[in-house]
Amino acid sequence: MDERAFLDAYEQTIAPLRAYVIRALGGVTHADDIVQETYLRLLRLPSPPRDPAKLRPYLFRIASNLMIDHWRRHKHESQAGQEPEPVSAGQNVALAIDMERLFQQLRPRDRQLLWLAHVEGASHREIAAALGIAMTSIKVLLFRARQRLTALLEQSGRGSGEST
Amino acid sequence: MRKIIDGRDDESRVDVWMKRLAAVPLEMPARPNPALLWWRAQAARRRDEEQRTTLPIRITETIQVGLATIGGLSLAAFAGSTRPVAAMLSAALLVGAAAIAAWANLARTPSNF
Repeated sequence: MDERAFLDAYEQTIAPLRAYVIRALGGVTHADDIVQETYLRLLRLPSPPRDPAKLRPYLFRIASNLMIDHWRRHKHESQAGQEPEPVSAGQNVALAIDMERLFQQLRPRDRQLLWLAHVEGASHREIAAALGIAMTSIKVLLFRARQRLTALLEQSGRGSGEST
Repeated sequence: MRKIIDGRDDESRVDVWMKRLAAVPLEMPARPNPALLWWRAQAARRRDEEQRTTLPIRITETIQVGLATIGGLSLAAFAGSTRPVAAMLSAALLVGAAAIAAWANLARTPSNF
């Protein structure tokens, strides 16, 4: 991969990759380290994929693995009940922070699963590859993750689907 | 049947909520500079390449250091009774040379970027 190809690939992937890492991690403090490391690992591959359709899942896979490593290393910190740092901007910040907090109450893997499935629109095969889970388990894990999010939404009084 | 309907209901509700969450703008610091990332990756690749090409030399040097140490100590053990001064001097020289070679090898190993 030459510099021009990398810069093009970077422009196409940085925004969705960064949003995924920030939302799944629940803050920007470590997110940019993980995003940078993701691109560095891609560039250090002997033959990185050039096709954008293959490149994007590849980047999400590397980032997912790095996040899992991060959670393993910082397990004791998250058990100490750290509050996620708000990362939302815009007009209705209070509502956005409320949504963030709710999302952060989910397990890390549930956040990854839900983001990849509902925001990235990834197929079960792509999610399985990104998270290193057997494809046959994805359907069940997604179903449970949705159930947990629905339960949280109902607890917070958003069960009927309204958000404002 | 009821479970399937509930599951589909959850799916569409979660889908709407997730898309709404994704649409919330993020307050982010400046994104990483891609040119800097490219440069760092090239430096890392060069270092990987250097380590790969020098690996046989480093292995050989380690073996040489080990053999010199064993040789020096053996010389001291076997020749020590007949010519103690000469044997001790030779052994000290051999072990000293091995120690210097080992130190030089360690000092030359590239550190992590």
